[in-house]
Amino acid sequence: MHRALEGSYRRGELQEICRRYVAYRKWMNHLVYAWPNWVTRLPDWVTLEGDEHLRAASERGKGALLLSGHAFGFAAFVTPVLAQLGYGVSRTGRGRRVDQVTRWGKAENYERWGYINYGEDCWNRAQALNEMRQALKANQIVHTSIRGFPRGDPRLQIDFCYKDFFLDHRLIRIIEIMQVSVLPCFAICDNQGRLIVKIYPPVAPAGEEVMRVFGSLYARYLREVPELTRIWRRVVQQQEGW
Amino acid sequence: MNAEQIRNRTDALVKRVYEASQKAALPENFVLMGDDGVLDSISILELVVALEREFGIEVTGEDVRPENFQDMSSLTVFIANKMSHS
Repeated sequence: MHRALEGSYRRGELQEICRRYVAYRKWMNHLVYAWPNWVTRLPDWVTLEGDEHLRAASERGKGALLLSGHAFGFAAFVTPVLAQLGYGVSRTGRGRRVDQVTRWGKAENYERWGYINYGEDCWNRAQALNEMRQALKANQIVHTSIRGFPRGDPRLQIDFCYKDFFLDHRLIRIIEIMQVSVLPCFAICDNQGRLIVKIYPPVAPAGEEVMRVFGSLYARYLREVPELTRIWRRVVQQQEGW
Repeated sequence: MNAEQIRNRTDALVKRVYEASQKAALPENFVLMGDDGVLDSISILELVVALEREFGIEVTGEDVRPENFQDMSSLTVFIANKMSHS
């Protein structure tokens, strides 16, 4: 983290960001394993802001795509929490490996959510994209996250810890093809460890508009709470494909 | 709509998604997706949206598989079958 951020923050600030990052990772892991304990007391542990945008999207009858930053904050809990609150919701992912949150979610005591698996080959991906489209047509919510890369389309560039960072042009294109309403969504926590899921007003399904609204929001979160992103090593190494 | 009309309209849609400039009809064995295919998964999504609009059919997630989208021939048969059942 020092290598990624040095020159951008003073030494004391950097140390504080590093401390908060360690706390975030430990808390994230704890929340995953403790899900069965706190899911039964959701109102004590989660504040959902902007759910009126979800309800409005539902009333329009065309579903909504919740869009988060990849590997940022507590996004992994957005789908389980919304399912528990009664929303018909799916999330996208790759591979058959189910994480702890997904396993708890499939337990009979909890509300289920859908899992759209991008799979390994082009046919799997095409099927997954069509599944996503069908879910949205059926007025469901789909939660997905957008990845970033060290190289890309200059129009999709955002500030990221003072490094080059380009959002995934493929997801932007998918949004434009599906013509789905995009609701930016970020999950952070307060200083007591309680989750805050923030859902923002809908963004028109056009690349420029997504970048103007979502891109600005994402950049702001990265600037204000840099400790909530989990891709430091990739940033430093400028790995292809992160 | 007869088979030839379906074939012609499908040909036009594939060319549009593929951004092909050729005027001649695509051959029956023109591979759409897979090892030698010209379309990626996102292009297939774009094609599916266009097919639904053009032919008034509904394409499910499971429909998107090699038997239906491998080449022009399989795609035309798939659309005809869908239309006959809708």
